[in-house]
Amino acid sequence: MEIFLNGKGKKLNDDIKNLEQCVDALPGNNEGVIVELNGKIIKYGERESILLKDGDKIELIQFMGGG
Amino acid sequence: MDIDSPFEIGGHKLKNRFFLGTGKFKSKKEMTECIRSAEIEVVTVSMRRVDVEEHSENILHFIPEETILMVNTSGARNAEEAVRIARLAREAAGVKWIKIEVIDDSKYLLPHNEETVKAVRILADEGFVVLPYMYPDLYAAREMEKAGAAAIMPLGSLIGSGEGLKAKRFIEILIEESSLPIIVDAGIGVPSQAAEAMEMGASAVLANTAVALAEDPKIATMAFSMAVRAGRMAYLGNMSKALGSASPSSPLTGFLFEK
Repeated sequence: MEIFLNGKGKKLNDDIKNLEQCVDALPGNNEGVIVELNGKIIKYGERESILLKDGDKIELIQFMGGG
Repeated sequence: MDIDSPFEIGGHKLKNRFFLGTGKFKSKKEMTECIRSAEIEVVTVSMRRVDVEEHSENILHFIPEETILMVNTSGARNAEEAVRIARLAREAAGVKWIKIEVIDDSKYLLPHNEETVKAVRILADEGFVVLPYMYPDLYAAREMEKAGAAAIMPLGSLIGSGEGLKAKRFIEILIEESSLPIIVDAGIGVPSQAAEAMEMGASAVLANTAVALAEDPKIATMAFSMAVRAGRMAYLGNMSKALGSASPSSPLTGFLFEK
């Protein structure tokens, strides 16, 4: 399956089926990362129940330093 | 008179009138030390896309729990994008305080007042505590107030420039005319400029670059904090303005050597 992750095309491993697995597969600690799927903010608890499909646009956003 | 009398924003009583931005610090540990050393009560953070190739730390772990988190909408070029960032911040960490920052000019990084007002209206209606960062224009400030802003954050000068209070006269007008707290933001390069803003009657000052890029950010934070407090005291003391001509500070009669 191929999705768009933060604007770039990305091929997902076959064992990644839902949004939770997709976020968990990223390097590092992704605690505090918020997810948008096709422009809609996804609540933490809903990630596991959302199955991904080809062409989904996923945005992963986190807090950074700023003034 | 209580020189540390608090001021209120969004139901919070704040004593420390120096707000700190968290960008550009050499390390997160250093940032934490700054927050703790000066007992900073309000810090700003921003939101960005995760670098999916890199391990990245959650900055919130380095901000003491009792600190009020004000998320800026930097990166937004219009009201719609600012609203999106605010909603993301709320979902990610229950954030209520939003500094609206809408910039559609990459050369001078000036805030877009009109788009900012639109975002203030939407987010105030949704229950956010909204602090618009703006160009100090009286008419726009009145619109921000009507739209539900909790405070006004006029720029002192260009973001990151350290040029101080280039917009001084116009900020004074906002202080005179607005019933909202005025928090001077952007362009504050040294503590004396922060003190000057407070002497004018600003409610608070926010700085980031000047502290984060200082050789010793911890000392710089304390210096800003003290300057802000001193400026506040000068304002409360209603110190006399310069008279414009020579005026002796010692009596001119009764000289010891008078004949």
